[in-house]
Amino acid sequence: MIKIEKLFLKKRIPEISEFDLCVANGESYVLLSSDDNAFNHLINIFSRIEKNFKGRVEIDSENILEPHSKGEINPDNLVFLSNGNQWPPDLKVKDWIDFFKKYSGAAEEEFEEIYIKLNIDRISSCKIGELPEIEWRRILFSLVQLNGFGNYIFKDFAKGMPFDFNLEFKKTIQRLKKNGCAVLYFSNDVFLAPEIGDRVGFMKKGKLLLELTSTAMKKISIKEIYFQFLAE
Amino acid sequence: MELKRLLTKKMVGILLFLLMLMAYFVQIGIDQYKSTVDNKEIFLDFEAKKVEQYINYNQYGTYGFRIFFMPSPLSVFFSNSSSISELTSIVDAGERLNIYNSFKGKALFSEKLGGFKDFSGIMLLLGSLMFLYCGYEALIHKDYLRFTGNLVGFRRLFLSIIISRFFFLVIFFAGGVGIAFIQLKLNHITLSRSEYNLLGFYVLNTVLLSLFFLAIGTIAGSFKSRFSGFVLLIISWFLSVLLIPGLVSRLISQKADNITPEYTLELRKLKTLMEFEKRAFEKYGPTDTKNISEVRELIESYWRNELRKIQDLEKKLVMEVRKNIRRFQVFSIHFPTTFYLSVNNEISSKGYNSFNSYYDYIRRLKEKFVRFYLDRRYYTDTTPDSLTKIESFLKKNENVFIASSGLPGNFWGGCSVTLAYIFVLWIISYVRFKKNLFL
Repeated sequence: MIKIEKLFLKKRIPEISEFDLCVANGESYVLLSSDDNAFNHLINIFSRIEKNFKGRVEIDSENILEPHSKGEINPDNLVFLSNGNQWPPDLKVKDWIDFFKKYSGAAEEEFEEIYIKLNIDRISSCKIGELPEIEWRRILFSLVQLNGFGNYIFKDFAKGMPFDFNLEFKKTIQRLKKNGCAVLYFSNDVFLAPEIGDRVGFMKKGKLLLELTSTAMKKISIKEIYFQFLAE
Repeated sequence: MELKRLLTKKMVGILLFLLMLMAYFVQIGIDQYKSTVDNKEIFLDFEAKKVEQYINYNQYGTYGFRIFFMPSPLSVFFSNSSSISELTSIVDAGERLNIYNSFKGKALFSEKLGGFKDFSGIMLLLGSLMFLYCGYEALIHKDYLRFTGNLVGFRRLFLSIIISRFFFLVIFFAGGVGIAFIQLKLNHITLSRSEYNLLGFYVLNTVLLSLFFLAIGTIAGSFKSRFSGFVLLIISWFLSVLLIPGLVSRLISQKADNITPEYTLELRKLKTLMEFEKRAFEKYGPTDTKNISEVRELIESYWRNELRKIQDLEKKLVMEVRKNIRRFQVFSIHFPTTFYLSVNNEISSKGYNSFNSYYDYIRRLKEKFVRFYLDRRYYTDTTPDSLTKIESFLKKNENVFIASSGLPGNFWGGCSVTLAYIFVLWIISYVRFKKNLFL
């Protein structure tokens, strides 16, 4: 579960104020905004990089400001994936997977399943820079699911990807929900939002202006939503 | 993982290229050192034969002798970047005490100093670029860093980035020094224990410098815009490697304008000597066996008074030069690259401290030579124009000054300042790394 209560983040552009959000287990939520910085501030808070805020941010009912216990790997039970492709192009896929295997704590059998599904043997000696972006995103997404994380945050992860990837992504989100995971998706894509989220929130200048269910959103004119909430 | 990320074909290629370049310049340094050793033998032979040509002590005193400056074997690492090259000085029994670098003949075409065309220079010029790039490249792949940071923790990730790169650079540098050692062995050049220690200090200084550039590189890499980061990288390289050392050098050169000019000093010394000569001639005329006891008295008065005056003039110049050297060393410790250059200058044995020792050595030798000349000329051989068998003043290889490598007086102070720079830069780098990771 991802929960934000009365969040105030001053001296940042945009300032975030009176921000409440709750993504229950087994639910997906899409937060729409045209302001990338607002998303970045939230991600900084979830990553424990930004600590100078007021309010309460919880992951699985635990305050994000509580210190980690020593030696615990990713105690927040949270994974973050973005659309960026800023990965070291010369790093070998195999080296990265080995590293992930070492630190993720996932079972060997699960890895073998992924290896077969994504045909990783074929590309393991390749460098990341040599892989098509779609393939690399598939690998990343599959790997992070191995850990059995309970909470997922995406930032435009499906943006710019072909139809088949988006379809596969949506299916996986449904499966994650079934498994009781909380999914928070940051985006400015009004078309994709009701496809992915059970609920959709509209954020403008650091404030949550409106929240709709995906069914309600599908009934409203997208054009109207865009001009009212997203356009600057 | 970080080491695997670092050891790409491109990076290995750059490293091999730099190692080859360093080996090439070490070989040039070795060749220059061997040429200096050969020149020393020719010089010794020539000086010995020269004394045999003199027919009396009057001639010996007038022409004097020369002293050769022999650098330490460590100079092979700093052959182009040190302050002084092959020096020679000429000393006579009169007022003359010249230190010069001849441009006659092949010396005109010798490598000009103050450049980067040696092992230490390449480390500064291109090594700094590589260190900057290593740091920059470490933090530009933000998606990778976010993902990995979430997996292992951001502090741990940052530390592993620094430590892996640091060890990588140390191994690279050790490789460079190792190849240089092999070259020294192959060329039969041996280093003494103290020279090994000094080389250790050079390694320490270079490691500090690499950490400094690595930290700047990571700051540049933490920028959201790669272009801005790259511009910062280039500007900081230009400032650190070219502009700031150039400014310090310029400043010291300007301050050196206050040092008494050599010609003024020479004239003052000549006046002191000539006034004495005039007084002596007016009083006793030319020296002969009749007036020798009076002349001896006068000569002793010269030894006690005029010679001391001439020596005091030299001492005053030495003090002025030392003051400026001190100023240079104090200025230098305030910035890592200037400190690096200042330390290298002294370790090379061709720096300012060596020059000081050389100057002291020839001043002491000159005093002894004047006494030797006066004794032979006025106590042993009292007929100046007669043919006499000349005994050489110089024992063994006294006219070769063996320069020793050393450290500037404020070495640990400079290391502390550089460490402070590194510490502050790493803190800035860590703050920026965390702050800009999700921007």
